[in-house]
Formats: sequence, structure tokens, C-alpha cells
Amino acid sequence: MISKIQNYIAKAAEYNMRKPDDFIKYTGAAVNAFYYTCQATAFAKSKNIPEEKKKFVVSQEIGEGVLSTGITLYLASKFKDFGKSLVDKAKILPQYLPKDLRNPESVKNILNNTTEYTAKLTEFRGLIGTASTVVGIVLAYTVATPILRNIFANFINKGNKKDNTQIPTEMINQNIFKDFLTAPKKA
Amino acid sequence: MAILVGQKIIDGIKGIQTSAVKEKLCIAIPALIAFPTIDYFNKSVDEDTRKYSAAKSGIKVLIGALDGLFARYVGQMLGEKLVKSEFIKPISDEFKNPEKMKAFSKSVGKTSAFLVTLVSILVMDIPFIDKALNVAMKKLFPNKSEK
Repeated sequence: MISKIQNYIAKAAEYNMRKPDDFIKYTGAAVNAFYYTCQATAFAKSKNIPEEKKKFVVSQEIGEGVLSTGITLYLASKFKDFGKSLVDKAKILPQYLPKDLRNPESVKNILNNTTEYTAKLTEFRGLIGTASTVVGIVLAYTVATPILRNIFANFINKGNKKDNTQIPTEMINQNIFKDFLTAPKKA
Repeated sequence: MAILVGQKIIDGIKGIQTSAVKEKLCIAIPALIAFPTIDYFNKSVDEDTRKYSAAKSGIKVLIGALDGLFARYVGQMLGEKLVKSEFIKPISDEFKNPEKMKAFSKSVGKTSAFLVTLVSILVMDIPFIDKALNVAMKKLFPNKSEK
């Protein structure tokens, strides 16, 4: 059992060394998905949410989780490719590259053949991929997820004709803990 | 015309690749700026509520970020210690040379930081963030009751 865990951790670490941008992308998405799963479970188990609202609240949480995890993966992948393509097109280059090599043909040549700059430029291309992956994740968290959340909340409200009052997640959250803090202890 | 990237920035990006704490900082700082700003400029509510909700989302992101950074810091240290004590060793031959050991150690640190983060979500974020948020908001805005 322990040797298996050791193996998995070593394998994951080696994966990170080979593909650091993908590692950031997948761990970011996994943390996001896990967070929503825990939140949905907490709502499902909460005694402070009335039973008839539970289904709605939990499904909203799961829907949001799936959407935001998907958008994180999507934007991170797209931005990674975009960042790397900028290096291929010689739009972003390291300062140490001599002036006469700062054009797409030379860059392609360096990346595909073995020259004195090949190792360094390949590393640079990977680094730009990592940086743009992080930009993609940041946009997914700060811009795309809040917008999607609103659209999704409106959409789920339309489908839920019996209950037109939208309960924002935060409000439920607070109520759980407010009730928890103020409720008299049951004997 | 190409954008030229200096060595300092290159080293900075390498830092994101090797340290989970730096990676989290890069993601948390924009969120710390963005969420309160979005709430503050939300025109559909009155100014008083706007200030309140901006402060609230700021504090919420801050608590989450501090918790996340702490978890990653602990995880990173733990992972690097596991390699130092030879509890975790590289599998592939390409990483088995001493030159790559430092990078491998940081990489294991990043992996264990990820695992510790998952645990911290379960034991810290879900049960305590909203409680801490409520306490902080009550101290900051004692007159404003929750609607």
C-alpha cells in the first residue's frame, strides 16, 4: 500500500517535470472539482436546508462545479497553445537570442534541429506555455466562472417553475453557519 | 516586432513551475483584486450594500488564499523532506542523476502540496471559511445585519 503511494507520488512528480503546464492545468481543475464536490456534499448533508430546496441547491452546486471545471480546463489548454504559438511565430522571444535569429524561420530551425540554442529555446517555449496556462486559469476563475455562474443560475431558475426565488450560494452558506452559531442546542 | 523576455521574468516563471506557493500567489492575487472590484461596481444595488459586499468578497478571497497558501507551503516542505529522507525516489532513469535531484525534490513538493490542498479544502475551507467570514464581517460592520 505505502509503496504504491510512493510510486504514484514519484510518477506525478515526474509528470510535472516533463509537462509542468499540464500539471498546473490538471491540478487546478482537480482542486476546483473537489471543492465543488465537497460543497455539494455539505449542502446535501446539511440539516438547515429544507428538504424540498435541497435538490435544487445541490444540483445547482454540481452544475456550477462541472461548468467551472470544464471552463478551467478549456481556457488553460487554449492559452497554453496560444502562448507556445507566439514563440513559434517569433512574437515572444528570450532576450539572449541574437538579433539575426529573431524571426519565425530561425526559431523553427532552432527548435527542430540541434543548435547551441535548441535546449534553451525549447525550455523557454515550455515556460511561456506554463505562464499562459496560468493566465488561462486566472481568467477562468476571475472572469469566466462568475459570468457562467450568473447565466447558469438564471437558466436553472427558469426550469424550476415551482420555486422562482433564486437562493445565492453565499446566502445558504451563511444561513448554515448562522443557524449553526445561533441555534439553541437540541437536547 | 517581438516581445523580448528578460532573464528575471524567465526565472520568475521557473519559480511558478517549481513552487506551489508561487503558483497559488499568481492565481490568488488577481482574484483578490477582481472580485471586490466587480462587487464594488455592481450598479444594481445601492452604494452602502456595494461597499459591504465588496469588503465581504475581498475578505472571503483573502481567507481562502491565506488558507490555500498555508496548505501549499506545508505540502511543499513536506514533499521536499520526503525526497531528502529518500522515502520517495525517482522511478525513471532519466531523473536518477544527482543534477536532476533538486528539480525532482521540488516537483515532489508540488505534488504533495496538491494533496495537502485537497485535505485542507475538506477540513478547513468547507467548514470554516464562512464561519470566519461571518465573524470578520460582524466585527467590521457591527450595525449591518445579514439580509
